[in-house]
Amino acid sequence: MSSPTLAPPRSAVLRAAGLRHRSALLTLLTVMAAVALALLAHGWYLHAGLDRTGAASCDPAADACAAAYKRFLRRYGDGLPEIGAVLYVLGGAFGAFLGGPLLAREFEHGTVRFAWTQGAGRTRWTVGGLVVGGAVLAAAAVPFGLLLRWWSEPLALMDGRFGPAVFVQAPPVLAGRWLVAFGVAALAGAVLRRTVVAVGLGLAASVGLPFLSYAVRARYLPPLEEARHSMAPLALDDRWVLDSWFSDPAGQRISGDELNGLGVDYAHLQELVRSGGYTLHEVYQPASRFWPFQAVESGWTVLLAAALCAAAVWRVRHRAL
Amino acid sequence: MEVDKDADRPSPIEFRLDPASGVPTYLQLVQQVEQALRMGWLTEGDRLPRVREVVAGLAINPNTVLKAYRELEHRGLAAGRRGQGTFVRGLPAGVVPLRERAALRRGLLEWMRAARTAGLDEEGMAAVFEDALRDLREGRDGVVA
Amino acid sequence: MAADTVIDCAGLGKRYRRSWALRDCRLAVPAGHVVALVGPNGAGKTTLLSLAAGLTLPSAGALTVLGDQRPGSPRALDRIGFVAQNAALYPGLPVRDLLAMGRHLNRRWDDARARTHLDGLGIPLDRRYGRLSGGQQAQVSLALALAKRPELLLLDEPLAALDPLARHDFMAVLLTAVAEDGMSAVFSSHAVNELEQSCDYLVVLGGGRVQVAGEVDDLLAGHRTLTGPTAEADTLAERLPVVRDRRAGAQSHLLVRTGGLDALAPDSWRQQRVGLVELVLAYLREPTASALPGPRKVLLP
Repeated sequence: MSSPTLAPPRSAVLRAAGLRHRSALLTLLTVMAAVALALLAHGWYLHAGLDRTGAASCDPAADACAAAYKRFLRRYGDGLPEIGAVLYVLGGAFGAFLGGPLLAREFEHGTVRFAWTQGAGRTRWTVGGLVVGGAVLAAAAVPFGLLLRWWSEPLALMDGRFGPAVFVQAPPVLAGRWLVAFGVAALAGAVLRRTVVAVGLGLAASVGLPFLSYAVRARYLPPLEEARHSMAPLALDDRWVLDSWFSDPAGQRISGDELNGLGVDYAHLQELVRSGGYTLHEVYQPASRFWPFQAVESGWTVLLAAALCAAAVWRVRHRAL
Repeated sequence: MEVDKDADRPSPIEFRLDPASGVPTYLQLVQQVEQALRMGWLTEGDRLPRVREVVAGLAINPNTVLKAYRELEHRGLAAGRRGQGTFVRGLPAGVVPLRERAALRRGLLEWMRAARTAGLDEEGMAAVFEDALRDLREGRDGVVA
Repeated sequence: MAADTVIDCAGLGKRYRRSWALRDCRLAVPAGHVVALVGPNGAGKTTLLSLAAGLTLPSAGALTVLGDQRPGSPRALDRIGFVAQNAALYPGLPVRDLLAMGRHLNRRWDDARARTHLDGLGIPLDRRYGRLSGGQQAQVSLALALAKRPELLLLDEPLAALDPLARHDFMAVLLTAVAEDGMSAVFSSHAVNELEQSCDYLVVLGGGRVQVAGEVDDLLAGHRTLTGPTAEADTLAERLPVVRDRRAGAQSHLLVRTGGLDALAPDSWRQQRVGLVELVLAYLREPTASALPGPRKVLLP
């Protein structure tokens, strides 16, 4: 008679979860790789175009440069906003498609009755699945985010690093968003037991999350304020201007309408600001805060995702079939 | 002295079941061992099939096999040896020498011919036989239903 | 340490939304038996097995398994195998990976046993589970459950989707494991005709309550069918606990509980012992009748 082995190592649950989700993970990585290849090809085409029009290496503050960039956008920019939107939704879809079936399909196929009656128990089994899925997703988000950033560089040349579309594509924030979509979909699957609904909710969360994070992003750190005597934008600085207002020579705040009432055209206003005693006050987040802000945002989104996953585990623990 | 045969050798008999017979499963096993003894297929010292083998072959409850083997031990036909199996010990009480058996059979055939002349068909004969067998059995047990 | 009882419950109830799937269930199934759980659809068989496996929680009362273990606790999960209805496993995974999963997820695991079992039936380990026949899928589920070397194996309608040959093979493997390990097994089934050979303990559920629970031999010895004149049937039925009462103009059949001996009945009545199928069908037809071990409710008109 053969003797039974005792006590598999703690990591064994993760290996079991890996076997269980292997095909889903492989599908996900394959789709990602296909998208990445397309992005590489298209990105190379865009970068080459940018070089050819001369907009890549000129000074963005110069008018000639702006004209070159407009030429580039005219020739290469057709449909780019649409592609950007598709990529934006697709990113969240990775998380939703991985998280949605993770628990819901177990209910739909009845495999919970196998999985939950193994020696490891339902809690460890569920945690194992979430950890494996989440880890692969987060790991894949890093190279994917770098690629996305590189691809979108020519399009966002004028937007600065804090542009909403650019900021959410950097790897830390991108990973956070994918994980939130994953967590929402997993939790929805645990509660509603329907894969399709769970994936849908995950997608909705991934589309909606950036609106929420954009609304709170400016408050991560108290903004700085600078008094300026020029109305020309400081695009090269890459700062994130939150607000701007004017004061009169006495230091009193004046409204935009009052200011407009003072001058006849832009050049006159510029003259007033430069040497007429009027001041432009810019409230902004400096470009140097880009990475701290990435850290803060990816931090709270990852925590949110972890909380969602914990809620899914809690639901599974207290779920009666 | 018991004749010790190799305990690892496969058993000379294999059980079969007739689910339609109405005879309890354990009794079917007992009867098959008795039958095999009468026919000489089993002799003293032979090993009966292991419980596990019977269960695997017939898909019956192991307790049923154990019950049959206990009954065989009770009837003095078999004896269990710890860790080795159950072995045939002796012959059932119903076994009679061949010559005597042939004589009995002749008598029964004679009765059957008489019954046929009287107009009984085969089923009628069987009914009379079973009726008489029940009387014999119940008369011996002293129980009247 | 072997437990005395494999399933022990009192006042057990389970409610789904509005209706009770199980109600006021009292049961103490001793260890070392092959237990058949029978009853009509919706009688609560799956619910009782799910409760014992720790898949669901009782709405009332309590249930313990293997002595005093709480269902679903780590100790209980280690020692209990569960074969779900329709043997639902991951269709995309090869059998080999299912075995690996079982190995990773259980402290007690006998890989060689599972491989011998599946090799013996010619089930290829590299075939995806979803591409196996129904009988093979059931065998893989059984192999996964048996590789845990469980002390108690719970099976929910394991035979329902199988052809006769597959049923025979399935029961042969299951009962062989019982013979080898002394494992207890509880399985629900509709195939009343096939129970007699496999089970030695019977639980009949009807309408969410336990109607009958006991060793098959005791139950069969404890019931008689009395056949006699209808004119005397009433007087007899007043004295004896009648399970099922069938009367025609002249002749009546009463299935009664006697508790082991022949019933005290007039000579005009013929007594016969009953078979398991007859007994089970009689109780299924009379959902209010019950025969329980311990203090019995005497059924008097």
